Amino acid sequence: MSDKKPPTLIEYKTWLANEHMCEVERTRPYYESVTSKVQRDLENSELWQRLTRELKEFDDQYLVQTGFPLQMADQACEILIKPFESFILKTYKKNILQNKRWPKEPEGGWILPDNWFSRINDIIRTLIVVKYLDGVQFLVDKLERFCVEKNIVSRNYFEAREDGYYAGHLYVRHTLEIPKMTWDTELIEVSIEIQITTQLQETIRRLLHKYYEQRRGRAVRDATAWQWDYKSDEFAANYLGHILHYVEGMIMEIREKQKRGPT
Amino acid sequence: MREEFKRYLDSVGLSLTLRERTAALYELFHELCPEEIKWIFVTDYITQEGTRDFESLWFFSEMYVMEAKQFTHTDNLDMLLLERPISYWSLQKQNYDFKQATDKSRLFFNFRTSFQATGALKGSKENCDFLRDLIKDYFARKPKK
Repeated sequence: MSDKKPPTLIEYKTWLANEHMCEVERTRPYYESVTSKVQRDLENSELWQRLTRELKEFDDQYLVQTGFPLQMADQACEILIKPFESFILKTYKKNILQNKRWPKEPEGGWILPDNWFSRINDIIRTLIVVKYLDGVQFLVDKLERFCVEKNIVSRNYFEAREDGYYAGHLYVRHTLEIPKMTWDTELIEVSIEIQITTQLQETIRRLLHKYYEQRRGRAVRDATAWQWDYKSDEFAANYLGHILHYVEGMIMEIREKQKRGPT
Repeated sequence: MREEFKRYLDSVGLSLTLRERTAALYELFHELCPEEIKWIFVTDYITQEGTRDFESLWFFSEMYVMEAKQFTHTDNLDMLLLERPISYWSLQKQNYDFKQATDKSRLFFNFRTSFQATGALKGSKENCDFLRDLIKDYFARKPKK
């Protein structure tokens, strides 16, 4: 095996075929078939039914506690599937770009078709949008308690990225039966990513979605630090994310001052 | 829909609802395919509880391969112009002598065209015999001169 990391996604696909006999395009229908089944099974699962029921309760608890609604009006929790191209890009990052042990396998082993449904933790995700910044922490705490009570394995992570992305992520483990590539089935533990973000962050994310997609496709970043390249798309997009986060903090400050009353 | 298609769907145990869904998808492909649809296949596998799950519905004409992916609950259709001979195929089988399927028989067939389009067909129990016939009659036959 060459010591040189595949520098592009196309070369990564060739590397997968040569080193691991994995032809990416052949795995696409299988990926789509499995993820579709996982989506359907999860929608019908007791876990999902309970969780979506509880969200209404959490909304009312926040209202009683703060006087403000927690979520955007009656949003339905939708189960989203990671598109195949984004999924392959993620395995490229894990196997190659972020692999500090290259040319050896990354920690935990290579991520390949026989294990990738349980190794990539955001194939299945959902998004919950809250109105205020403190709603993120509130909902993460509530959902975590829900998991503890139901003996469900979970972990949370508060994302605060350099690129201005802020959100609470909760990962819930759930066992599902999936078809194998050939025949029969296997039981695997999948991780469901529950993203909790604010209305403002979600708005900016929707606006910048196309830009993020283009950037994710680039394996090698520009040499100039984006913080100094004020003409770049990254400069505007990333700082907008940080500014909005700051503004949301200020909104919370005002809300809390109002609650305390005049000093 | 051809009578032999209906008999096939009955014999692999499709419910009335899924047979109606299959008929609707057939009508759609029949409208879109410039040739007569002559073959049908439904991919299936057996779950750990022993139930049969159906995945994709396939139709074939002389030159075209049509697939309705996860046809039980989605409308995700595609169609491929098949060049012959196909450039590559592979086959895996379990408890199957390629003559008479039993309840333990499993068959998996994968093909690739010279344009890198691929397809995977799987069958369990008596569906192995139907897949075997499809492989012999459609994929492995000599191209017409």
